[in-house]
Amino acid sequence: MARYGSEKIRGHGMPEAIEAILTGGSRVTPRVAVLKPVSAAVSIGTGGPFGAEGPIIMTGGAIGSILAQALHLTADERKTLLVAGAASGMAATFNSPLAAVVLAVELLLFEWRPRSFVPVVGAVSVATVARGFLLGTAPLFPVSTAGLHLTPGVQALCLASGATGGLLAIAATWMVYRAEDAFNRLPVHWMWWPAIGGAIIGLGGLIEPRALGVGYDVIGRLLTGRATMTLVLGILVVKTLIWSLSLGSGTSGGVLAPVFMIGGALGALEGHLFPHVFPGFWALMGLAAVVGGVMRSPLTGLIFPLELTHAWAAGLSLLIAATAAYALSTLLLDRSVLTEKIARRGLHLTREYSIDPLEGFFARDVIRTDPVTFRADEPVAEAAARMDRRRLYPVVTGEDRLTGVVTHEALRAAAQAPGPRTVADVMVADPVIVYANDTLRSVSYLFAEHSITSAPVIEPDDGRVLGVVALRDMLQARLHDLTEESHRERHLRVLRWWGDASRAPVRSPIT
Amino acid sequence: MSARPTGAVRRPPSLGDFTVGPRMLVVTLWALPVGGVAALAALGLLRLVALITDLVFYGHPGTRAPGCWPPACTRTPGGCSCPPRSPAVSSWA
Repeated sequence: MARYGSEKIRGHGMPEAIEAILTGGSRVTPRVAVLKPVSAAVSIGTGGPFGAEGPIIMTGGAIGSILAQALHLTADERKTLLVAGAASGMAATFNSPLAAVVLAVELLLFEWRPRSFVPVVGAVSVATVARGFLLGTAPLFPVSTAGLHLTPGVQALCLASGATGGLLAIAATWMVYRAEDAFNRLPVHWMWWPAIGGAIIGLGGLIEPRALGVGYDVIGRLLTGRATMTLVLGILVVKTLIWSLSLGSGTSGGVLAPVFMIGGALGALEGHLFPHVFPGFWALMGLAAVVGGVMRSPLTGLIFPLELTHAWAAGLSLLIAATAAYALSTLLLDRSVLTEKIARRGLHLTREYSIDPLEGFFARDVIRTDPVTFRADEPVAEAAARMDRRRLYPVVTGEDRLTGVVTHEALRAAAQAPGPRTVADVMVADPVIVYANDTLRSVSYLFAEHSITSAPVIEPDDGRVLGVVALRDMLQARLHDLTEESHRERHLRVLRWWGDASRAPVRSPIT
Repeated sequence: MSARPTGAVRRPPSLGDFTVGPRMLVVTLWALPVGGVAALAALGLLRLVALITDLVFYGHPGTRAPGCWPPACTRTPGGCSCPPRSPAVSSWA
């Protein structure tokens, strides 16, 4: 199916969805919408140790994308509908609307803005309601937290559990890509790799049959504290190995359910060492930690286990565990199991969200004031004599109202040409203008849209010319951002006895 | 600088916490059916996985307890009870 249908169906689904969003204008072919679920169903149904959620994300995303392609929409709107479909499929599978929305924001949307958040929530709500009608509203793995009392010592152990889960996540990610490297070196066409992966799965199944398939029953046992040590060790070793090796072979299947199972097994193992809280508590922590470490989405790692079990009282513990794993994973691994695949295709993506520094400054904050201005009736020779090194000069009336602009080059050329001419003869009468209270981001968009590098800035209230803003002026905002990020300084000097460092002069921020 | 005639039609900016317009509501309306169809597709995929599991591991479809998987599982008040060496999925719901 991958070779003759669509190569996009290889792998676990999320990198392909991300790639479609980032490079494909959120366009997914109908062929993928059919082949992906069928290939995943064959893979999982025959014992592949994968989850269905990755293929569901890809299939749901394909549905959203196909509808979007049939409508007159922008690429951003297509992305919103693609992600809406992906998150909806996930919410319907796990009865987890919150986790689906958070996953959409953390992994797929690459923004947190109302324009995409509201439609995604709408779609996820519909999917969850539909799921409730068809399959009920109960959590997948209900856990009782009655009488839960979490001491500071237990919370500290959650940190340790998170760190252990983070290390396991790193190891599993490393194994997936080492396996992919090994398959890449094989002297056979990639079409055969999943067959080799399937043989590895079969061997693993001989050792521990419960490592095969999606394994929701095993996850349920782990989370309710009913797993035996044999099962825990079997899952931890066999599932981790066959999952990472077969995923590296390019078999179609998701990562989430295996990660749940591996994390749950790690936590269950820790539960034999750590104090008892409630049955399955430590499995829950392990699950959250490995999800947080593998997906590098700490909020997804927190909310998913909560929605799967409704163990709401364990929220803080889960947050600690998921964040510890996330911190360790981000420190030690450049890429996650989701993004490494994309990086290997020559793409770079960052998953850090921050406000655009250009959005925090107005044009009036960075403009060059006291601009050299000309009158429209001024002779070109006189105007050229007053020019400085700037590239653009406003042409104004007696009340400093803008009537046009003239460039350095145009004025110089006109001054060298024979015959009397005025500035009005060489000026552009209706130029692109920037208002003083335009943000630098909107100025940069304006410059990009009109292929210009400078523009006059006017006061919006009375139309007076205030100055000129140029492309290089916008670097001030970037410089400010850089200073905030890298410049360390001390403002309070209470600890005077702390040596010479406290008496060092405080550097002024770069402006 | 290649100035083009746009200055006259630009409006002074209106700033707020978010950049959003009524178009968001249109996209939301389109997203609602996407959510419904994606949910059905997701549940259909789960059924397909269950069917293939049934065929591959047990040789015939449709003998499982309602809501439980594989067929060796039985329905219990708390969900599904499955044999310890069950290879696949015990509960889809």
